Amino acid sequence: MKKIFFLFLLIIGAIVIYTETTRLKFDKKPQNVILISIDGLQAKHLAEYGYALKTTPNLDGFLDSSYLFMNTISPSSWTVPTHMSIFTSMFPSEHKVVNKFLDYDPASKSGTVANLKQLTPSAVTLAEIFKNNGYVTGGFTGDSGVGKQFGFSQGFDEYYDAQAFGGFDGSVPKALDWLAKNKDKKFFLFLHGYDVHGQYAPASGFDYRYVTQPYTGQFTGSPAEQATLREEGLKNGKLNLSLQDVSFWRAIYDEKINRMDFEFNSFMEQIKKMGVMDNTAIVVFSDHGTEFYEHQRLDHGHTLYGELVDVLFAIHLPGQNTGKKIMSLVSTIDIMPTILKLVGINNPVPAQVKGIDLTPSLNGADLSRDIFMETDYRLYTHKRAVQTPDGWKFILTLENSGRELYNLKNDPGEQINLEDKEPKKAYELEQELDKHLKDMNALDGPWVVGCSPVYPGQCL
Amino acid sequence: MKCKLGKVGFGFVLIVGIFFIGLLVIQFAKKNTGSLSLQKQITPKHIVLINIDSLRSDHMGIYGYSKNTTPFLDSLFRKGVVFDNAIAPGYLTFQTDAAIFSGLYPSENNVTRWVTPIDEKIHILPEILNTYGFSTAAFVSPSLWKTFGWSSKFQTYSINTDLKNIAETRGTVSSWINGHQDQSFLFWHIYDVHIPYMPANTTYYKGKYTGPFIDDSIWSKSWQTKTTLYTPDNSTGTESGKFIATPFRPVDVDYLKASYDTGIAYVDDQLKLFFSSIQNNPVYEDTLFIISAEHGEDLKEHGYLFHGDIYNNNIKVPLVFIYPSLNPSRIKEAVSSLDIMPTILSMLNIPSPETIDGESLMPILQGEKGDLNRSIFTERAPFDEYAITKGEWKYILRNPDKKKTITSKTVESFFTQMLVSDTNNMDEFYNLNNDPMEQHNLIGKGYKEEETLRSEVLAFRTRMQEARKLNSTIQQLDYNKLIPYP
Repeated sequence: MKKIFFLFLLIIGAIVIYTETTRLKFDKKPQNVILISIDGLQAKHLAEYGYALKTTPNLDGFLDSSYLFMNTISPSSWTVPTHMSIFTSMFPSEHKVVNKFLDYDPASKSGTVANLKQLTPSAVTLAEIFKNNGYVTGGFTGDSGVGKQFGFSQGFDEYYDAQAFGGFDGSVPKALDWLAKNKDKKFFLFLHGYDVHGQYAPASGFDYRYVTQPYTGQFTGSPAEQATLREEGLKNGKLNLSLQDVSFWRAIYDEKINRMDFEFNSFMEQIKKMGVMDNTAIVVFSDHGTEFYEHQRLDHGHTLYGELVDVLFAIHLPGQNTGKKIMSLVSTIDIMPTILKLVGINNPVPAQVKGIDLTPSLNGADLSRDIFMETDYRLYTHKRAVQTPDGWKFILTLENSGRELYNLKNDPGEQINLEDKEPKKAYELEQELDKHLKDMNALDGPWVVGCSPVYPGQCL
Repeated sequence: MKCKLGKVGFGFVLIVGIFFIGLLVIQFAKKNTGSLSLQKQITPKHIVLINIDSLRSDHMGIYGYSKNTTPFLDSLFRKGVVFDNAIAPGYLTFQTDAAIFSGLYPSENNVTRWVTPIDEKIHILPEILNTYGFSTAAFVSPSLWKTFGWSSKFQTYSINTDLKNIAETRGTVSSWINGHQDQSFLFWHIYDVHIPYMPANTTYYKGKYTGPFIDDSIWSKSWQTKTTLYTPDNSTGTESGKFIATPFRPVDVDYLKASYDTGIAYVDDQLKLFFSSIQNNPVYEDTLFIISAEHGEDLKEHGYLFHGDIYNNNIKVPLVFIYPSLNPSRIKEAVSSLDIMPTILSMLNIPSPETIDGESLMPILQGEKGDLNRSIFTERAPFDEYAITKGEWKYILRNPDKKKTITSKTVESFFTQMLVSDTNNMDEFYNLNNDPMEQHNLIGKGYKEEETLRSEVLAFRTRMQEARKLNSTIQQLDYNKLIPYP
């Protein structure tokens, strides 16, 4: 009898341990969700991801008490396709909003704007799902790449996109106004700002707070200069900047990031005062990074290297006051199913959702898998890539069948192309990538190099 | 353990324990053996692909020829899996070879004409095999020049000095095979059946022939129509640029057919010697032999000689896979030469490129039923004409916009004239069961299959046109510099 009794205890103990480890640490299931997009923020420029400077004390504090995903890859390397992938959990090739225009005539300077409803009528967005479950939904953004015309407002009761390349200084007040009216309802709030993006500059101008050594170069950090450098890099394939120029541009970026941190803090302070922290999950991410000459160019969208696709992603649950770093290799395409799981809404479109629910990783499960990315940036290039948990990255450039293979463990900067040295690995990853494209009916071309403008004045 | 409860409890724990152990075992087994199929392991260490250029299948005994041209090959084929309906994707040697190496149609891999190299960005069979540790070699005739672009992907690419010298090459090939004990892939291209034909021997032609074709060098200077051979008029002792017209007589055609068969019989003899020179080497036991042809031959079934069109005498080729653990059989299902590459890769457990058109024949080789209605396509590049073979039906899509693409008067060989050809551009539709020589065009006779096949081949044409558009930036053609057909 004694033996049976101990065995029984053992079994009960096992059951208890199992349920303890699988359910989330923090008791309160969130009801509301605030999803914050810091457009253009390169993960490596944050102290929490190893950056040497502490440019974001407020954000760091927030991230310190959140689940921080240390290895997050974006499904694309620029705003339009990435946000649509996050809103639908579909790859760009599937939702098809891969450029701002479907076609464009430079002579008349007009074209057909890419719109989700027209391109992929069956796609259901995260906001629509919240709406269908009795939530009020509001989006407050900096327009441009997340403007209404692309379909980003689908499912939102209110969608603010009045200012082109607007920062949090524009979107936060609108968001807070809306939240004040809706905080007692079930709400889904999307907040977005271009504060660290190339086109943004503080109203009062830069104060060069992070330019530590005297800068004797030609740049002032203006959006116009950044645009010129962006275009020059695309036209010539690379730029010719000095080390001090690159440091200067990073210092400008750091200043923008620091200023953004202030805005972030004021938002957080206000929502705490509103008393929504108790039943709201806050998800913060960046849609893509920014290149600062890691591959001899500036800006983003034109490649799928780490400086563009390694992004910020964190989840803060109600009542959470300790943080945890999650090491699984994940993608921001996972945000939608993860949010739905957190709030307990059944995913109505399981066939559509290509991301995975990451909640088991919050309890320590390793959900690493091969992550796919793509870009068709302005029809300047068409690139597809796959990254594996054991640190291999294969990039295919479709218009010229260019192939690149990097070993991220030995060469995290993706400087040494191992395609010739590791032909078997390159071949196998290429076939895996091709199969992924084939499954999306996205394997065949034509892969033309043309023009689909993103910024005014292009395609002349 | 004396009380009842104790026994029950113990029994319960035992059952639960066995249940979980069982789950673990199944998980482990699944991971390690993948499919639980009990099929034989087919992973050859060596692969030999032999293409006998211009060999049409219906001139081999194994495929029903009335003359005993191929006694050795017949016995060899009977040891393997013989495909009765293998169709080439092109009608010229380099087209089919490029398609075999790439698993893609000519329009897709860019090898449509003599001057166009294979798209170097495509992963081709020898390159993939190199990557996976195979030694790779090709022994070819000069008609497969290095300009086609695939030669650099073979570790050894040996071009014969003469067009035809199987008697010599078979020694070199058998040395290479016997000397490569580790994983190896060899491609052997045999040109000895191709024109210019050997003089007909008495087995195939009785009597003495004195007509124009007794001179086998005639072919590089002449050109043909359906009725007449035009040979250069050198009666003044120098090249006059004029041609003498010689109408084809039945005796000429008989002689040509006999010459063609003589060449086949000769190659059969040589291959018998070749196989006996390798069969005692241990390598032989673990070698997959694939024997085929890039195309067949027209022997006036449609008025022309040689190979310039996409009738079955041109595109229906022999195909056999011989390997100890493959059960000998005959396969009726139509297949394409494009299937050779994925079949080889699938046997070796190497992933095939996702982009290819060919399908692995492994299931069929292992006895499964294939699709009797599979659509097999052939391109007639550069004429934008296409054939679809689907079960017993064949549709040939002609090109109403076809213009003479070869305008240069300096290259008036029989071959270029035939390439331009004077079909009336009407589509053709045949029932291959009743009319294997495609003599009775059933277009417009009301068969429902005509419409089905027509719409499928039209869709294929669109696909090939799109592919050519993509490749057009890398093609730099100058027809005036067209390399003459050897």
